[in-house]
Amino acid sequence: MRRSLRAVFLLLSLTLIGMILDGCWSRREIEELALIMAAALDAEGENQVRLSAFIINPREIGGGQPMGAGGGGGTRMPGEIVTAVADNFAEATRRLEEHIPRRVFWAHNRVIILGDGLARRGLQSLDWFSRDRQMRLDTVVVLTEGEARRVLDLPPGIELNPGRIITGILNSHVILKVELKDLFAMWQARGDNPVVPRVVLLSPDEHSGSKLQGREGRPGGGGEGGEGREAPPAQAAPAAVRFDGAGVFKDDKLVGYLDHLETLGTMWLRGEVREGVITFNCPAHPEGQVAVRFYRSQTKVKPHVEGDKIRFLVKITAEGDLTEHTCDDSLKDPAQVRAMEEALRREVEKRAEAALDKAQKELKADIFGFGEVLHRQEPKFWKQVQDHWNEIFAGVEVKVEPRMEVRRVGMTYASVEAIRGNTGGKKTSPGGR
Amino acid sequence: MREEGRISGWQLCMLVMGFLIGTSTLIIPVGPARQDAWIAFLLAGGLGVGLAYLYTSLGKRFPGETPLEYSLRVLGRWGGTILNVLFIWYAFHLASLVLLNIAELYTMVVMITTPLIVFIGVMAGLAALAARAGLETIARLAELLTPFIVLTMLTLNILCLATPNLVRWENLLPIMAEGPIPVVRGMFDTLAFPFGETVFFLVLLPFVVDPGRTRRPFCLAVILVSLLLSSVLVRNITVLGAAESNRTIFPSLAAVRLINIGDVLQRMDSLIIFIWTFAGFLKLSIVYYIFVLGTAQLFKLKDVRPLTLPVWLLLTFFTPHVYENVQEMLVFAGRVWPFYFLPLYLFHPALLLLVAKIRGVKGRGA
Repeated sequence: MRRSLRAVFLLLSLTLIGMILDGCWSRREIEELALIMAAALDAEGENQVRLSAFIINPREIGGGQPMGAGGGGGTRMPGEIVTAVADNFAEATRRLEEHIPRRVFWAHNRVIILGDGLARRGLQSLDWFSRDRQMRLDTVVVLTEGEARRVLDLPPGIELNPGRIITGILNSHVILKVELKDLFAMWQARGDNPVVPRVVLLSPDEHSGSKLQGREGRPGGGGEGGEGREAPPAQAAPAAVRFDGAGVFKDDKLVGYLDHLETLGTMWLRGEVREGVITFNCPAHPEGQVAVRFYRSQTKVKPHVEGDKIRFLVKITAEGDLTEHTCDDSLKDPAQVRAMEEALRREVEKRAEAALDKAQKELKADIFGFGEVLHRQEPKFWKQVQDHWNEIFAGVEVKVEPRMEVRRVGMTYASVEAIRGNTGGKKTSPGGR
Repeated sequence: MREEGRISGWQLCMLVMGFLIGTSTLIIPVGPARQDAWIAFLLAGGLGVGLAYLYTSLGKRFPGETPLEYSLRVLGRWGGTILNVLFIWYAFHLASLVLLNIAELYTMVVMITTPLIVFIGVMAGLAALAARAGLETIARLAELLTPFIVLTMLTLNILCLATPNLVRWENLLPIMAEGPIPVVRGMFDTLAFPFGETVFFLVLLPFVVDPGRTRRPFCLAVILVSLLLSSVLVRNITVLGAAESNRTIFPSLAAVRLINIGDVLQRMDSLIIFIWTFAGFLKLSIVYYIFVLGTAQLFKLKDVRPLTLPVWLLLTFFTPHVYENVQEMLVFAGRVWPFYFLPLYLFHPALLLLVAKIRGVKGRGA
């Protein structure tokens, strides 16, 4: 009797437990969430901010062929862009929720695009992006001149949303990549200043070279423009973005931009270079050109303090393969390779010096983190200079010592022209990444 | 009363390790030593071994007895009772602190709209069940969970190392730029939390099968945990930098969130929440058990079981009032606890051992 009563009691309690186990307290189903994939931050009015967010449309993303081979029409978007103006970004997110049917969910945000108006006002408004628990510190940060909102207009191509387009480009390892955690680290360190890569919008013409596409708009793109009512090129929806240069912050405010070459120099000096191609003219035959693809590099900064004079010695080492060579010489001679290395060394020096010149003479901001190196290596000396480091940095002597090694020359020793004995190579303007 | 359970040396080692890991990775403070915090932690671990030596000396002198029993013989009835009341008060306070840590973590990071009291009640209820089941059950739980916790922490460290461009060793520099004082201060803090808290194992030492061989597993556990936790500190500092580790409330969580290997191995936050829950629960149930057992011995009860459920209620309603917010928690853990806890983890066992030596009080079993 007692046994059966016990069994009944057990059964009853199990049933009751089952009743409370089936629901979670504050659950959020995925179909109730608006997943933000990219956010654009702009300044608005005197001291307000505008938050624009790209929210993916799960029906378009999920399930195989996203742009529907049979589905036809170019009107279906992989997501929608929503925007709200408020005093700060936390409030702006609430405002967004006033006109979208789902709860905003930030944890999948991949990129934060800063408009330069906001960047000039200062980074203080980013506080929320490290304080809220949905935020991730590995979100990529980029900067754009003008309104950041326009970057979200990127039409879907291989990738469907601007967040993936931008992070995809950044994963190529040849461009300066700054994540939120890097930005905060550069910002809060007294011996460093933030550098944030800049994106430039490309018209359809610049992107694919096609005039036709520009008129009709890419599939799914916003460039509608009917007959005879063509939008001026500057206002047209962008077809793509390109990374070009970088914005320099002093403390927390945007103070200027680096051009392409200076950005490369900054990357070499910060030790952020991972891969890339450098093109230069042949040392012996200026009409030919050489391209070297390097894949391994290291930067070591050494401070030397004598009295109150500071010198920095920057040792850069990199190795790479020669990938193009249109000069007359055959590369069978080791001396040739050494000459290439020497020319390569000068190219890196040129980049580093361009960056140094800009940072020391024009911007007067230590964008290379040299102050932090000093802090680590000479903590006692650092104490004396930390309060006015940027001014001191403008006057310090920096010596750059690159050492480049060309490991291999590819599959051939000499170009066809060199074998024919023809000297008329093509003229090039040196550049490249 | 007597606890019939017996634990092996290996189980003691696992218990001490799980207890030490406990909530310390959760609010592991970078503290005054900043980028040298890991040095401070290792030094504190060294002193922690000294404390373990002290505790096991007491345990060896009085095999088969808990401090609540032999303190009466060492210090007399009144002196001993006062010390015993203090001892179980500290156990109760620690239990509520651990409980509140876990609950705060859950309300801050995982489920923000759920009231704090729900987590407190659920965790305390589970700990009550564990304490009711007895020491052997808790020891087996430790045997099960501690290896998992340690392996997961090591895996997370390795994953951080494997993530490209995440670990920056230069963040550890400069080493001791401000002289040794900040390191010593940091050491003092970490000595109290978590190493000094092992003083509660005085109560568990008599239940080890071979009371003569407690020293090796105890010291081994302290050494392993100090290595493990300083590696966690090194990870947090190299990944986030000392300044950012100080700025974030849960630096370990922030660091682990950055793990990303080829866009496949990423978002490891849930793993670290698991560790914290398991380790926190282990610590909580050990302290809970010690409090219940201590209370039973103080009042000379025959059984601990009648106490487990009332203590659950007591703890559930006491805990929310330990502190009001995380700021108070941090101030308490960093500034108050090292001094507040000092009498128990150092003076109490030292006094017992000294007086026992002078008065020549020997253990009953010896």
